[in-house]
Amino acid sequence: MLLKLKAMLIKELKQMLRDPKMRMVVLSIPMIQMLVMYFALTLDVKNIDIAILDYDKTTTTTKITDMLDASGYFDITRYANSLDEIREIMDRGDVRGAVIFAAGTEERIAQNAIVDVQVIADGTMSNDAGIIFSYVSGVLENYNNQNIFRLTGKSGQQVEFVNRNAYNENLDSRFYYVPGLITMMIMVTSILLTSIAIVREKEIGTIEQVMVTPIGRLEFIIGKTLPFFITGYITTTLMFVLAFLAFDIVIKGSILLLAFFLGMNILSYLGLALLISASSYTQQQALLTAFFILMPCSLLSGFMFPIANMPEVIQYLTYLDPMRWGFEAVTGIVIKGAGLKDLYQQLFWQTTHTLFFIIFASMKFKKNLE
Amino acid sequence: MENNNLAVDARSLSKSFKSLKAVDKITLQVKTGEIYGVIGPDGAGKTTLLRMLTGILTPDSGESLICGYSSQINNREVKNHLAYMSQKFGLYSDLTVYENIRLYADLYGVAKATRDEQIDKLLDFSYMRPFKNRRAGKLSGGMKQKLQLICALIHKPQVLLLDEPTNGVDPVSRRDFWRILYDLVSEGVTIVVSTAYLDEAERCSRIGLMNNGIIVAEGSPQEVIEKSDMTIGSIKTDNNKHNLKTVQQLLPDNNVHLLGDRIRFTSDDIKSISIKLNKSFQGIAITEEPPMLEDIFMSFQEARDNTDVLSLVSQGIENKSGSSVTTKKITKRFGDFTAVNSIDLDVKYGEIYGFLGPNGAGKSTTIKMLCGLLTPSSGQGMVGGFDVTKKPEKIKENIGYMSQKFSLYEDLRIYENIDFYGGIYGLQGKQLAKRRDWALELSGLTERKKEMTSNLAGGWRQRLALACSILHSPSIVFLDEPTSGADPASRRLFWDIINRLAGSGVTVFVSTHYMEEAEYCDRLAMIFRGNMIAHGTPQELKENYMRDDIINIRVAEPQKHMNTLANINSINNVALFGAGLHVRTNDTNSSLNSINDYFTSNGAKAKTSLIQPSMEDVFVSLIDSAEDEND
Repeated sequence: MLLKLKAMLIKELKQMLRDPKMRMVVLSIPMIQMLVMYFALTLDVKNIDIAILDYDKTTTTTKITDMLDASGYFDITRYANSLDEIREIMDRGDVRGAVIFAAGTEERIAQNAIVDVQVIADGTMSNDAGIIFSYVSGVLENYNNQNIFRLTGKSGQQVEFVNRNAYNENLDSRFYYVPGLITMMIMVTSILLTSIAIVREKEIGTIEQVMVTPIGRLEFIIGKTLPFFITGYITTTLMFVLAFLAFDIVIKGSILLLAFFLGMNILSYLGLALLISASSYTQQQALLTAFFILMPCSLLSGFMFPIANMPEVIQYLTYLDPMRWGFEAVTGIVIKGAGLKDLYQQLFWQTTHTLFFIIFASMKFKKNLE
Repeated sequence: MENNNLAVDARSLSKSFKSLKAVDKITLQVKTGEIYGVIGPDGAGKTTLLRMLTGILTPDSGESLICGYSSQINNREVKNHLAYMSQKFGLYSDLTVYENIRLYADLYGVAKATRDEQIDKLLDFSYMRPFKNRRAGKLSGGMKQKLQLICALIHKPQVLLLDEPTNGVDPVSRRDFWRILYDLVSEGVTIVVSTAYLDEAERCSRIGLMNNGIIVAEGSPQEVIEKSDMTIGSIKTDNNKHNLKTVQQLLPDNNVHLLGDRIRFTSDDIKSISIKLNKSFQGIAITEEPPMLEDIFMSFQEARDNTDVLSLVSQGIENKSGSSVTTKKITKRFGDFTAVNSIDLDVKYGEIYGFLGPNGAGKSTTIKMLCGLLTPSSGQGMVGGFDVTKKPEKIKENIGYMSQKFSLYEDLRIYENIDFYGGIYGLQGKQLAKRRDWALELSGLTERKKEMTSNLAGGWRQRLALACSILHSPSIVFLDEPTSGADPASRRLFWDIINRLAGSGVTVFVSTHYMEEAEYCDRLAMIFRGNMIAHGTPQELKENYMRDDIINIRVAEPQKHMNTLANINSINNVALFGAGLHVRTNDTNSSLNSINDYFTSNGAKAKTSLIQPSMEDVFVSLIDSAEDEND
C-alpha cells in the first residue's frame, strides 16, 4: 500500500515542481496576488477629488473649504464657476463630489440664521457617496462646534459620543483584508490546480494505463491530493510570514488551532476539486466548472459583503460555502484571538464540508472507464 | 527555376535539435506526378524533413522549392500549391464531415459558387458521401484519415505531403486510401509520403531510405532492391516458432526472423549456412527468395544483439497451464449500440491470440472488458481465474496491458516513468533497479534514460510502453495495436519479445493491423461490427474461410488496370497488394485466361500466378462477405 502511494507521490511532485510555470503558480503567484490585492482592494476612502463652487467668496466659506482640505479625506482639485461646470466635470469623472456655498452664507451665519451647504456626490458607487456625505458633515459639525464655542463660550452639544473600536482600534482595514485574502488565495489555488489533476490524465490517456495496475482507488486519490495539500500548506505558511513582515499582521490566537482549521479548509477544497476533476472529460470543462464555483464561494463567504446584510434565504445558502467557514475561523483566530470554544460552529461546518467532499469524491472516482 | 518538371526541389536541407542532427544535408528532387516514399526507422528524421518542405519548420541551412516557390521565402505561394497532412488529427470532432470540409474550403478561400460541387466531388471520390452529416468524432480511424485527406485536397494542391497517413488504419481502409492516392497522381498531383508500412513503400514510384538524418538509398523500389545485392534464404520447418530460437543461435549474424509460414535469413553464402543449419536440421532444403524492401531496410540498421535482453524476458514468470482467459457470450452495449456482441473465447497459457478487424470493430472494447476497465453488459469472462465483473481488481494484479493511447508521462524522464510503473506494481529496491535496467535494455534506451520522455519518437515510446506494461512479469498480457506506427526493426523486436513471453507460458492477446503479424499468432479471431466472424489458427482461417482463389499479378502501374480487370465476370475483387494486384476469383481458369488475354491485347508486361491466399486476402474477403450479409 505505502509503496504504491510513494510511487504515485514521487511522480506527482516531480511533475508539479519540474515545470517552472507550475512552480510559479503553486508557490509565488498566491503571494504576489496577495500583495497586489492588498494595495488595490481597500474600503478606506482617502483623497477623494472634489470641486468647490463658492458663490459667496467670504472668509467663512474659505475657512470651511480649508477645513475640508485639511481633513485629509478630500483633494480639492477644482474651483468651479457654475453648476454647469460641476455637472460637466462630474460626468467626466474628474471629481466624485462637489460642495456648493450659496451667496450670502457668511451674512446669514452672522445673523444666526440657518445656512444650507449643498453637497453633491457621485452616486455611481453608492458606498463612496455615503462616505463623502458623512465626511463632509463631520467637517461641518466640527466647524459648527468651533463657531458655537467662539460665540457662546460653551460646547455646542451636551451629549457627545466617544467610540472605541474593539479588536482593530484604528479601523485599519488590513487586519481584516490580509487574512481574508489569504483564505481566498488558498481556495483559488487549491481548487484550480487540483481540478485538472485527474482530468489531465484522462485527456492524455495515461489514466487508462494506471487503471489497469493494481493501485488502489484510495492510493490513487491520496497520491493525487497529498502533493497539493503539502504545497497548499507551504504556500499558506509563506503568506502568513509575508503578512507579518509586510503588514505587521500578528496571529493573536493559537497557531496550532489556525493550522488545524487551515488543513481542514484545504482538504475540503481538494475534495471539491477532485469531484470536479472526476466528473469532467476535458481540462477546459474542469476549469470552467471550477471557475463558476469559485465566484459565488468568494462572494458569499462574508469576506466581500457581510452575510448579515443578505436576504435570509441566501444567508442559509452560505452554510454550503466552504470558504465561509475557513474565512470566519481564520479571521477569528488571527484578529480576535478566538479559541476553539468560540469557533464550535465553524468547527462543525468545516468538518462536515471536509468529510462530505472527500468521501463523495472517493466514491465518484472509479477505477474503470464506464 | 532550373527544372520546371520538379514539383519538389530541396537542396542540402539540414536541421539540428540541440546536439541531435535530425536532418543532415538532404537533397531531394521529386518530379511532377511521382509518388515519393520516405522510408526509415523511428527517429530517422522523416517528419522533420517533411515539415521543412512545408515551410513550417525553418532549416538551419539549405532551401526547398515547391513548384518553383521557396518554402522558406515565398511561403504564401507555397501554401497555395501544397497540402500537408500531419500525424496529428487536425479535424474538429464536434463538426460534421461536411462542416469540416467547408471550414477548410473557406480557410483556403475556395470560391463559394464551386465550393459545394467540389466538396461533393471529393466525397464521392473517397466514398464518404453517405457519411456527409456524421460528426467527425464518430468516424472510424480509416474514415478520419480519409476526411483529413479530403480537407487537404479542397484547394486542389499540386503537391501533397503526407506524414504516415495510414498509421493504425486497417488493411481494407488502407487499400482504399492508396486507391485515392493513385487517382490523384493520375490527375498530375505529386505526392511525398512517409510510411512505416513497407508494402506501401513498394507502391511508390521512387523511395528514399532515410537513416540518421541522411538518405542512404534512393530509387524505384525495384532499383533499391537490386542495388543492394542481397540474397535471402528461407526454410520451412514443422514448428517454426519453436525452431526460430535454434536458427537464431546457429546464424547469429543473419537477421533470422519469421515471415508467414517460413523462417527467413540473409544468406550471402548458402553453402556455409547450409552446413550450419544441418547441425540441427538434417537435410533441410534452403529456398532462395528475392529480397524485400524490409530486408534492405533491416540491413541499414545496426544489428542489435538482443539475445541477452530476450533471455531476460521470461524472468520471474510463473509457469501456468490451462485456460487463462475464457468468456461466455460476453457483450458490451453503449446505449443502443452493441460494441461487442456475445463473444466466446477460450485461450490457454502460452498462447498468442490475435484480434483482427477493421477500426471500430470492437477489438479494443473486448480487451478493455478483459482488463477490468469496462464492465460487460451481459455474459461472463474469467481472466487468470478471476471473474471480470466481480473481481476486476484481482485481475489487474495479474495482467499487463498496453493501450493504444499514449501511456507514458511526457513530463517525466524515461527512467522516472519506469520507476513510477514499477512502484505502482509494488516493485522496490534492488528488484526495481533490476527491472529498470532490464526495461531500459529492452527498449534500447539505456543511454537515453535521463532524457525527457517527450523527446522520444513514436516507435521508441511504444517500446518503452511495452517494457513498462510487463515490468511486473504478468502471466497474461494484452497488447492493443502495440506495433502501430513502429518501424520494421521495432516490430521484429516486439514479436521476438511476444514469442519469448508465450514460450515461457504467458498468454499474449494482441490486436494488429499488420496482416503479416497475424501469421505469427497461434490463433486468431476476426472481429467485425462487434461479432466474431471467424476464428482459428492462421492456416485454418486460410483454408476454411477462403472460398475463392487468389491470382497474383506483377505489373507496372497496377492501378491503371484495376477497373478493367474488375469488370471481368469471373473476378470477384481486384485489390492493390504490395506493388502488384491480387485478384479474387471462384473460377480460376477462366479468370486466368481473361487476365492474360487482357494484358496481351494491352501490351503490358504482366506475370500472373495462382498463390496461397495471404492473411490480408482472408481479411479483406471476410470483411467483404460480412458486409454483403449485413447490407
